[in-house]
Amino acid sequence: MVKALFWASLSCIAYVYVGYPLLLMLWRRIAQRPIHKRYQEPSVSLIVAMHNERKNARRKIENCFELDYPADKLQVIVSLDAPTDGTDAAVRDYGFRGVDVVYSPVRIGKAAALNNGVARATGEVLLFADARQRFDKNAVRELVANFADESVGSVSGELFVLDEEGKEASDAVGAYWRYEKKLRAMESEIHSVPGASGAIYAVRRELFVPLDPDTILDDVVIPMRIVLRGKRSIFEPAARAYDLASQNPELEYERKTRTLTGNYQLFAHMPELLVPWRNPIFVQLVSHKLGRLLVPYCLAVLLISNLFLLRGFYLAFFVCQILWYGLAASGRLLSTRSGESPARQLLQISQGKKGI
Amino acid sequence: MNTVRKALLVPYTFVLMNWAAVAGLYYFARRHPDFWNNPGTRRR
Repeated sequence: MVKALFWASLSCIAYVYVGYPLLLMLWRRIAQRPIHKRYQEPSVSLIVAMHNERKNARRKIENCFELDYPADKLQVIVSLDAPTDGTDAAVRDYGFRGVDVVYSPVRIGKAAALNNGVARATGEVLLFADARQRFDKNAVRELVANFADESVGSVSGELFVLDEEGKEASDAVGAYWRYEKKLRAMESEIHSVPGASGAIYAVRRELFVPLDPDTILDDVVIPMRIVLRGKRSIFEPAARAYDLASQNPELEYERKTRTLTGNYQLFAHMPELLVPWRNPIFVQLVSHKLGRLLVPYCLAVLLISNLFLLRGFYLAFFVCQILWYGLAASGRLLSTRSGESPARQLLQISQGKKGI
Repeated sequence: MNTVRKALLVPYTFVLMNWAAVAGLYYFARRHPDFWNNPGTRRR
């Protein structure tokens, strides 16, 4: 029984991080579905929802003006969600330069703010972005070229996480993000990616259905709804956006917690995603999203079951596990030395004293 | 030294990211009211 638990948990972890990428590599070799991309200029509505983004608002809007796309075909919409830091003042200056500003005087949340922005949109394509990340000049052109293929309903761009020197981050978080993007690229070649990058993704206007106001991950819910309607949700690496790397793993932890909470919500709100004959990317979704939710529990079972199996191979494996967690503890100490104490941050987060 | 630091942060990051899944379940179960406060929490 203990051995069965040990091997089941080890198999699950190995499948999520190694087996699934290998499966994708094989799968795309035998069932690749190319996209028939063609450069075109449909009207695009670029929607950015903002709450308190005073630091980023001007830079983001200026970045929108710099994009290589006809100005008369690019509508920029800023949907303000009751900002209290002066974001509204920063944004309203741009009303004279053609930016559509939608204002909510009471907090309605990100999803509702996006709904408000979409209600104002006139474009054939809706392009969603976050306030902090910067678009590459040709990002819009590269994204919309994919809509020449009728099977495509949503396109996600590629987000580059840069370090302080402007190079792609080479730390653990950067490596994780590169691994994640490789998975997305392979999933896209086969059918669809279960989700998009919230910093840069576009959808056909007619496929957008207003979000539930409490939606946490609009960038997963919208593409998955499109996939359920029989269209593809793809990844376009030529459409780039840039973000700065987290200064330490704790900040990435905050992001990850939000994302994973959103994944639980996704499965609760859209149970049809877990029905193989309803969801054309059932295997990808379960392997990529659900698998990641299960791994921590598998890790716990692996460690505990290993405690009861301390002979031969199992003893060596147990030593490896202890070493791994020892190194993790050392990493935590190192991380603590740089910047605010992560232990303190985590304590505040777990006690609800700090927002995530 | 920088390389050693980066190498040590790999297991730490792995453990932290997995702990995030447990915390995510906790927040989901508690219906955490607001993921909007900190704009830095959005990326992907």
